[in-house]
Amino acid sequence: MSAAATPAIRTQLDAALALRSAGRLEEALDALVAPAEYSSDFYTIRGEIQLALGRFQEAAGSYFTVVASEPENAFAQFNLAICLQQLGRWAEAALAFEKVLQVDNHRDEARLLLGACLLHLNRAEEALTHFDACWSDAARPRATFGKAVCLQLLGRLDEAEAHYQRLLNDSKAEEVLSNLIALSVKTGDLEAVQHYASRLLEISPQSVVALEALASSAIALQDYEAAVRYCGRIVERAPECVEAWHNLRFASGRVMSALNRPDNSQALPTGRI
Amino acid sequence: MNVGQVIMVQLQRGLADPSDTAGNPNGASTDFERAVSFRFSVTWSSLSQAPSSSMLHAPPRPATVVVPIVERPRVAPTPKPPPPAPVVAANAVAYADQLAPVERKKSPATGFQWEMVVPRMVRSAKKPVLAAGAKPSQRRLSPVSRDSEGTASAVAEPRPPAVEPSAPNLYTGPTSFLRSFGFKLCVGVAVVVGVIVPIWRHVSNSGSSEVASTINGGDWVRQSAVSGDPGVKQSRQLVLYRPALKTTDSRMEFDWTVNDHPVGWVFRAKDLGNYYGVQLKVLKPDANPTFGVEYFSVYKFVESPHQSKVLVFPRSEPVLRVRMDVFGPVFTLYLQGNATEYWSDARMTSGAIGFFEEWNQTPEIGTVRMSFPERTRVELPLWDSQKLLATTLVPALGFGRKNSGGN
Repeated sequence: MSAAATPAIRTQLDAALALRSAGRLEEALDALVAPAEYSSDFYTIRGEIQLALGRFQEAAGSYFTVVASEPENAFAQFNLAICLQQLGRWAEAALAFEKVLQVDNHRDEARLLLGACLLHLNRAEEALTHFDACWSDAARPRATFGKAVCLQLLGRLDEAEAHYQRLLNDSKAEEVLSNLIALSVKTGDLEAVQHYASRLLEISPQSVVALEALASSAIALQDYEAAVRYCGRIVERAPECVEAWHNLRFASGRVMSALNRPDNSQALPTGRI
Repeated sequence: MNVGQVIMVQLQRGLADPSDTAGNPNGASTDFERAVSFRFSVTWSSLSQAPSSSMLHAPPRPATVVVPIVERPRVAPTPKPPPPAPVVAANAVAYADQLAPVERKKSPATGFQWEMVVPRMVRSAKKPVLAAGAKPSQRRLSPVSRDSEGTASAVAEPRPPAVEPSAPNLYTGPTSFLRSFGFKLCVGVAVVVGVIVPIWRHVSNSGSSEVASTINGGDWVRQSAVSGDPGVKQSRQLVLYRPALKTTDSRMEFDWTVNDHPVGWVFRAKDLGNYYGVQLKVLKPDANPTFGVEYFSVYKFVESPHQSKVLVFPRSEPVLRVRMDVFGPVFTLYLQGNATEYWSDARMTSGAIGFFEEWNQTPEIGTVRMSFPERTRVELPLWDSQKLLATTLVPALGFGRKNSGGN
């Protein structure tokens, strides 16, 4: 097999590149006809175009062809891993990212994505070691977030919270706050739930998680009118949320019940979250 | 979801009508006597976000560091005979940002664009050797001008003498062209910086072409920050490698003699208001010296806050080997061969590489080696390469110190 592009392949590649530069990705792909001989350039470019088109399965095939012949090709290996990750094939993606790191151990992007795959595979301990191994400043926020997630999944909630806290000033703290809400719900810290939910709502007014947290708090505090408001907002944004419909019905029932009672001061039944 | 839809209607009516069946507590079945828990799950979608498309197209990092490549040396191409000197249109001075690419004679295999292939840094098997004792060419370049077709050109007075291709380190004489750019060329400045530009050829039978230049040559331009420019408070000056003005990806390597004067370099520099900068300085000279690395951007004449990192070395190094890889939006700094910092920024995609000085502090720089992938437009005409090949490095003033050139 020959890795070098023959003149015929090169002509194809030139045409495909020109089309791709013009944004005509489908035509660029059509311009590439599988050659009789192996050419890493051909399969790499085809993979890039397929990846850009979101054809992850096909792109994975192209890159796999390259890495089968050139196992040390970190670029193709990385893109193969990306394709597999996009396909939700976490185990295969993790393996591909590991191979990238075997070739280029400094590559934090691969390490972060490997950690994410391992989390999907419920291998939080392993993921944690990879996040710990990230070295660059650029990777630090994501690595810290990854560590926090690992620690949270491992039940080391105090450590997880400490890591999340470091990220709260980040402008993209939405997922951090969301996880902190989950953490606070687990620890039963209602005050923290409200605090993080309010912050999340500030930066993301449409956040269903924040509304769910506030609704939960309101129900726990027997503030059913507030619960009705929050649940109403949730079902507007996420009509598929069965819990929100249920709690809306529950809270509105409590509100109506209180209104119908001659003596409104009578205590309402306690809600549970 | 019928129940829910009814409730939504109820909500829109303000839950005010107690007679409404849906809102009536009597209508609530026992199913609704207890609230249910929402499901709060841990998510990490921000970790799994795929890299930007530019990272997937270009090598996210120069994994071309890749060992096997070094093991696959290529033969340097035989220099081609210089083309005839171009015609110059009188008084038609070109400016740096108007400089049209100088037409390069294409080799039969240059039709392929490197950007689309798996990046491979191919180093020449033969390290550049200074033509010791050779004298620099005395010829000067005429101002670069535009002809009627807008092609930038320059007049080379006497043709460079024929040279052995095995002596790739060259010297470029000063040129008045730079004055017309408003740049201050450091003519007579004392340095010897060998610049090697291996152009990565994808085609398997093509090798890298290497040329060399000195910092005081016509290919380097110096610009001083003036009022309104970022860096004016620091008396910042940029020294840019002009042929690389439109380059996208690059690798720069040099040796820095460790001393009190920090070394700063820039990449993707378009002008004094648009570039990325990195500075390396000694924080604590010691048996275990501490260095500070700062990087920043100047974009649209606004300088970003400086990101900094402190590095402690296990032992004192008189000379530090610095390598900066710029690939797509990803920038990686290597010190002594070790990856030291890695960041990304996608705002500026092309521009020259070079150095910067502040407070008139001149660092001591050893050999500078610059590498460009073939897709990068290095506007170095072939005849210029020939000229460079014909000459050798000479000590100059001001920027760095004499050294032996090539790696």
